[in-house]
Amino acid sequence: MNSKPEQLNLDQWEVRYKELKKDGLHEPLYGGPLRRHVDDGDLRLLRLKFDNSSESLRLWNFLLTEEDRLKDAKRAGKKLVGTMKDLGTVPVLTYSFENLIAFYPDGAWWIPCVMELNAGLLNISDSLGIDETFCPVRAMLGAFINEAHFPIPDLLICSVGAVCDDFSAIAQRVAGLGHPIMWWEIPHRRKAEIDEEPVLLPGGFTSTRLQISLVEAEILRIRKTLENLSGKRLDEVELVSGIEAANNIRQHMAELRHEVFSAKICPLPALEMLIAEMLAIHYCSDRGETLNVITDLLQVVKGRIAKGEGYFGEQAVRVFWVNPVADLAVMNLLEQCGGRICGTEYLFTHALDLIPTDMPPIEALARTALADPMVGSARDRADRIMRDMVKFRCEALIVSKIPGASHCATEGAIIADVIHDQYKIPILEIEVPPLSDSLRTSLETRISALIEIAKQNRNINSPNRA
Amino acid sequence: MELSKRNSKRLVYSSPFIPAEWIAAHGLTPCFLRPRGSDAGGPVEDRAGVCAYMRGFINEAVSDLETDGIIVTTVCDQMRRSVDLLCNHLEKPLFLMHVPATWQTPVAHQYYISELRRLGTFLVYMGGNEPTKAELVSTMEAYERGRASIVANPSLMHGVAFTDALTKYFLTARIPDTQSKVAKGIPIAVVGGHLSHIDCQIFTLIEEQGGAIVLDGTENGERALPGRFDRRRLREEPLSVLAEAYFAHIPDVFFRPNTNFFSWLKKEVRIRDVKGVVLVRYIWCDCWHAEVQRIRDWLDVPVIDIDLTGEDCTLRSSTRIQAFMETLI
Repeated sequence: MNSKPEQLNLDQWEVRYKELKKDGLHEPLYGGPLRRHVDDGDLRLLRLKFDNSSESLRLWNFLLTEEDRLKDAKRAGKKLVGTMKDLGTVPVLTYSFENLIAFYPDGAWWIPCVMELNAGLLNISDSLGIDETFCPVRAMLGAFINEAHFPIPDLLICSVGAVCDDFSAIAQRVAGLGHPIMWWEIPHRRKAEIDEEPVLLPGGFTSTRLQISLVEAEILRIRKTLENLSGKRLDEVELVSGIEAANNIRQHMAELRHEVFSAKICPLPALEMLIAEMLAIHYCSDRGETLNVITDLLQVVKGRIAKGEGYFGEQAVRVFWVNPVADLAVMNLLEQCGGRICGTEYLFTHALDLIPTDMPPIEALARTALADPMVGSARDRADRIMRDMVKFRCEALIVSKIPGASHCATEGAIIADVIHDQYKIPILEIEVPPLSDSLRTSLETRISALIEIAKQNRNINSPNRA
Repeated sequence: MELSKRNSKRLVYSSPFIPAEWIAAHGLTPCFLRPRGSDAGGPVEDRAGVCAYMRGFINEAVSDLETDGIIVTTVCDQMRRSVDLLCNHLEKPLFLMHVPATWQTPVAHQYYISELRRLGTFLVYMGGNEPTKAELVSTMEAYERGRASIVANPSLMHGVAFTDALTKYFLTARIPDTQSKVAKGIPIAVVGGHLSHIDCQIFTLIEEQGGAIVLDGTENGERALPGRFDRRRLREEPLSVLAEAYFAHIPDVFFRPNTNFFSWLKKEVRIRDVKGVVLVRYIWCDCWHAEVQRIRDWLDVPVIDIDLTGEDCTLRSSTRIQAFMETLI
């Protein structure tokens, strides 16, 4: 059923879809042609290029039908928990309850891109005084006002403390609209001092026993709140089971990333990989199906690697990408310029690392939460990026700034400095707004220049390492 | 330890959640640094998205020969991240203190206290001495008396005069003698984030247009003063009492939820009969920018929003302030 890998636009996917159906394609209930999402308002799809596998079709349909799933869950009597900012930890706890569903209202930040600003969310946000000096996550505020993109959750849980100011400020405005939020503290992660014992976190950062105790206390508070919402106590067996299920997905995701980023020829393009990674944060409101989708993608990737099939050829420059893009089209653009993504740090590596299972589960979740790269210093983040760049033999680094995001004002330069001190590769910092069409030429020129330099470096005999 | 007999090492900070008493009780000199502006060169470059106040504070702290150490907090993300920019300037030891954004749980209060203890370790590293309970109490009482004297002097209660008065008090233990007249006019509150020296022209502009500043609710002003110490517990638990006076008392928009700030503002506007509010905030300060409309909606008096860049604000703001004041007449 799957042909050789080829990136298709939406029109070409219409034809492909008919062929797949003729060949007996079985789809889940949320399946169907991609075109229908355009009819629902997701106009950006008209400008994107997609992988042509049926598994990628499933991935896209899964992503773009989340709102329907949330509505169905609500009708079926499940309670919706809007988890905000922590990107990966609270949903693990939430999904351990049978009758709770977690999702990230933060995800609304992509609506202006996907709907090409037609949803009017940024205008709504502007009208509330939250203008373009804030991160595009301000679309979330608009979504809470017009209630047109997700059902209003039964409970909102938001991490604060060592988080970016714009998200925290926008979340406070959501609370000010009359949506009560359960706030929980995540401290700035720091290394142990002389009289403290360092504690290793998933992913390699370190923290202290005191900080872990604080976060444990907060997670216990969250658990209590979820128990009140659910009407059921969560026992340790259920929580351990929830962690196991999360780890199962993380393990598959780690394997998928490893296969794709290590392959000689790119077996799955950057856009599909970005969407797949995003699923790991909150399972797109269906944990079981997330595992199915990622497992399917892994099979496709392995099959392509075995056959030596893929995209862009062996000459594509291996690029490490930092921060998610506000405009999905830029993922296609990188590849059109001769690059391929062989490493990512999309702000949530702690949602991809395995949750420890050799300790009490609450402590395990606390360590996972503290492993958030955004909770500590940009230098720590850069060190982890460096390790992955070496592992996946990356030849260039792109730091993608999110317009208005408080962390982006300074982190790019810091990350570039740390990397450049050890690894002499070309580094580019770009800013990607929700719709980058007017900047496309400039972005293309800059990315192409980066790719060109990286290719020239290949011809230089001296090693890239300093 | 008497305030006037102290190790000369000077530690600068810009957050009101750093208790000056804690630094002084360790025998060091606290200095709530108000930068001149944002034009000082240094490790923080002028880039889009970088808060000019953070840039001014950090660059001035690094270049100031009298500064021996720098303390920053996590109250704002830009300050939190400034630490990464300073790793090449290790001649000035730097301490980052986490001030919890949540405040409704005992865990948050305990963490604030633990951070004060950790700050204490840093102060010892800087050459200070861990104070006894009695020494801490004595220092706290002296500072409280000093603050009370300044608060009782209306001419010292806003703008540069206020911070200068506190700074001088920290250094010399003397309350400045001032002959300045208390301005008469339309009662105005100035509320918002930090102000550098050059921004304090705002106060002059307001007074020139017939305003009398009855409330300095900026980060360097009256709003940022700690509460009265709990005398019942002071001698037994001075550090806890100190923490409570700062963390549990100072209203600020960064807290989550930040309802206490709004309650405080509404009350102060009412009891001081404020007729207009001048809200000041730095461009790229998301914490204050996000609350502008909510502050407008919350109060029954007109609010004007002035954004700052760390450069001379007179040209940009004088006409607006003049027009604002005219609407209040």
